[in-house]
Amino acid sequence: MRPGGATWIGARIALVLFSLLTSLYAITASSTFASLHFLQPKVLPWIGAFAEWHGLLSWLWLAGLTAHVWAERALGPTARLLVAGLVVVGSVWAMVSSLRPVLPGLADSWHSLALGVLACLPVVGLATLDHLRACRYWKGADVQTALVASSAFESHMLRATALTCGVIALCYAIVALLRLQAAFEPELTPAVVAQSVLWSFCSHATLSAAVFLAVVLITRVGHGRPRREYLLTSGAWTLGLTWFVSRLLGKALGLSAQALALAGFVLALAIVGAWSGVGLACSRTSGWPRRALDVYLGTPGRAFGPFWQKISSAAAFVVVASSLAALAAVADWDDVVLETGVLAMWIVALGWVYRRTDTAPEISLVTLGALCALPLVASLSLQPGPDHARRLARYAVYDPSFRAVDQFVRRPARTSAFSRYLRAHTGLNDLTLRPVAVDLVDSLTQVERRPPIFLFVIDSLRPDYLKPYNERAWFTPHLETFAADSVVFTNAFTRYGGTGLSVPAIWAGAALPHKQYVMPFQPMNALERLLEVNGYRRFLSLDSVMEPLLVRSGSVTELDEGTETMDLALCGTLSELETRLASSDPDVPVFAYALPQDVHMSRMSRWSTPAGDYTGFFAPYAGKVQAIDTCFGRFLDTLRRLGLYDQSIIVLTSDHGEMLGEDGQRGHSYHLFPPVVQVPLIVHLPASLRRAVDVDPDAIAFTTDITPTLYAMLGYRWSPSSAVVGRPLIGESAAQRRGRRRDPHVIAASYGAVYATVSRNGRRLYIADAVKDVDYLYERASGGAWTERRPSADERAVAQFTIRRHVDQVARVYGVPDR
Amino acid sequence: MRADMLAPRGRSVELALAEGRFEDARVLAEELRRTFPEDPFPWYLLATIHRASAHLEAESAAWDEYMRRSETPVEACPDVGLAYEQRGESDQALDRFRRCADLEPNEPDRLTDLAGALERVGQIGEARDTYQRAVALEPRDLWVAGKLRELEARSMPSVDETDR
Repeated sequence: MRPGGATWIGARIALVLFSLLTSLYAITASSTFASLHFLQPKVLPWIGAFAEWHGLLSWLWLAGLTAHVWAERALGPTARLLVAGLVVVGSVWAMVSSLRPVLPGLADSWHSLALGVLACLPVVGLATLDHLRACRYWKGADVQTALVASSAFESHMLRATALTCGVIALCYAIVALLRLQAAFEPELTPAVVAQSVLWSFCSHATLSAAVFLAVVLITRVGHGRPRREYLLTSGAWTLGLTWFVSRLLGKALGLSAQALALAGFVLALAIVGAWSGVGLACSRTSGWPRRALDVYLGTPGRAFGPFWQKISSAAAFVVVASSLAALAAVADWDDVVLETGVLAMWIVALGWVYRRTDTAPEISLVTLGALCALPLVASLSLQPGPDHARRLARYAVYDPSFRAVDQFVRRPARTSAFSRYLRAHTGLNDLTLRPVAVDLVDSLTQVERRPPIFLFVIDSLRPDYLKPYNERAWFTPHLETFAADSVVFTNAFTRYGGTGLSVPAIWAGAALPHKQYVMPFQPMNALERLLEVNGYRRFLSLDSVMEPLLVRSGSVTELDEGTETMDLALCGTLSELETRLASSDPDVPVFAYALPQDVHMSRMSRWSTPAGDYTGFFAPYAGKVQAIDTCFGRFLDTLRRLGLYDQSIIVLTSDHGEMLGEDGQRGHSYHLFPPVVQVPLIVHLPASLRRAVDVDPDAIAFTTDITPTLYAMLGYRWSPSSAVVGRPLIGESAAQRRGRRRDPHVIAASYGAVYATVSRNGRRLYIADAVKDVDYLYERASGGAWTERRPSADERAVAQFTIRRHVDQVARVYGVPDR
Repeated sequence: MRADMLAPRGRSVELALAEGRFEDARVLAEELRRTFPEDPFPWYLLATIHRASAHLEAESAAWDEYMRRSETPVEACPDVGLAYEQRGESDQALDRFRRCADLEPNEPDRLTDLAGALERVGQIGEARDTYQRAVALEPRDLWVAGKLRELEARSMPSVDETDR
């Protein structure tokens, strides 16, 4: 294999990808959230397969690595040592991985982070070999003679950055216009879109001017010294990528600042090392670099070609950008795919233009300065007003490059004291907390009336896809029938966005410390204690969240045994439950619980668009909801046949909602936007109880109220051990009801420092996102539509005070020290 | 920006409040009020502290000060009216509930609070009209409609001390 040849490049990319994937897996595993809710449930099956087959793949990688570097021993003693080191380390790694698979066992600890760092070292080693090879040449005089003059290079660079900015801004403006065709955006009139496109060009121009100035600075400092210029250029790439990777990982994984900096730096170093190594090897075949940037972007000297070639190249950019945006719309994680795609497009476009713009005449220093100053001054002096900013934000939903660039240009990161406070009180996995008993009643003794209880928490189910909540949801007729003889809580919210804390909080019937998890969980598990004391036989479909938190006893029968969490489907669970119920002892009360994943976004790739008119709905999701409805209807028929329906408590709810394309977002992540925090809550009461209890179904309700309500339905008198405990939804006094409606309530994301207050009986939602250091205020009209507006300083102060009081209260109850 | 300036100093007030040290919290909040005389937030803190320590007179006065200074005085609603009501000052309470309803004429909660206060002082006709406006704003809310029905059905209730 000749370095720089096609086979060599292919092999190198494969070797580097393996190491980077291993590193990314380990770094992801170091995040509690990602480890528990992404890797362990195998949300993306190919990632699970990669971890399971990692031992075997390691041997293949070792064989490829050895073949790839063996010839490099000729480069000298340092290279021989490096080759030996790579092969020995690779062999040890492959043996260890084969004996005991490492990746599947990784947990959220610093060990995983350390492994992520170590996994990048082979890439750095390979890059070192490439540089050793290049150094031999760089010591020669040819490099000096090949260098182009700085003034010519700066003119070239200005043309390249300016043209790249134009290409990218235009390309994404076309993407935005195409996407807007299918969107309902009354505010984005043609005039507003034209204005937004101009703003986009201005923002792009500012960024390209900044890039140009950075390159000029590097070339001036490194003038006449190729190695210094190369080091500075590589350093700048590394720093830039460190910032980018840390930011992406920070949003997606919620790691600590130190872990983010380390992971970001190591990954950036590996990427830049691999990139420059391949660039240097290619330079040998395509002509040695005249400037350091050639190593990264390719050697200039090509032409744009005829008109049709330019047009087809531009069209290719639009197609790729559009495809990346479409991919991100269906499978993304906190804009990781979207923003990585935008960065890749920028780099590819810059390289494409850079290799074709070196032949035009030089530009004078004055013109250079003026061309740079213009966009910089414009972006500093032009600040959009509140209305204009809102319209720009709407446009940015459809123009991902503008969204990314605008964040960089106009919204420099700032860390408010409140965000720091929230981050300090979130993800307390480094703290050892002792469990604190969550008691809902003074004395928990067995009661006489023990009706069957069924608790179905459909992961990610949105209320507006159910007929009881939305007249237009024609595809859930069985739920409509079920709702007719149940209580439909029309104003229900989750206490936690994300399954991680939401489901344990449902069992606890209380807000929990922001830690996954306080172990043993049993003292905090009010629902489990209720079932235990009353001798319920429990049929539990054990998902990856509750499985380690629940106590296994003789009275527990596992449903869906052997099924991976992400494969848990309501139809399968209910079929098994129906069989079990038919043969269960009628004298022993039964309880069943399931957390089916039918409509979880990780299964989106398996969904197909159903036949039928789903206008106004996201059809693949609606189709799955329809399937749930059918199975649920069948289950209710079974209960009727068994004579259990009228005496049963049946709770249908979800742990959180889902973004289904609102503002270009999908999934739930650590968002607390209205589609994520609103949940369905339908409670079927035994016939005897239905006539006796007093309920306010339109008052705000929370998922943490479910367990207190079950206590109340069994006849217990609510007497909570602390103020963070939920409240029963039945039998409240008039004053308690008024309090429920009037009081502000605090909710939180499971996986990040994002908190919200829900006030005015669920009509106002203030969100404080300490991950991105931004806040939002939403208000709901009587028709149910939410509108966003900017919070006033006083509204913000009051809402943040409410959140701090709640966080302080939770901290006091569970013994979390002030941080 | 202002919240960031206040937050570190307000933190000690909040911690004292969380620990039930109301007098300490009050002293610290008063100091904050003196340091930021134009800022409404220290008044919000004081009102909250007084409510927690059941100093109704001080609480209602603090809410009034908050409403005077704040650009969004409605944040004091309905607590300002409730504080006066609990002190037995029905006219003052009604005045504050009216003011709250004027600040947010399309907010059903504000109208329901006002209607409840009107009902309690015996102004049944206006109470009925106000409930009807609230029902019109939130027709699907059975509770508000129920309040209207109750008004028709039962005699005027006395102020409930636990109506907080």
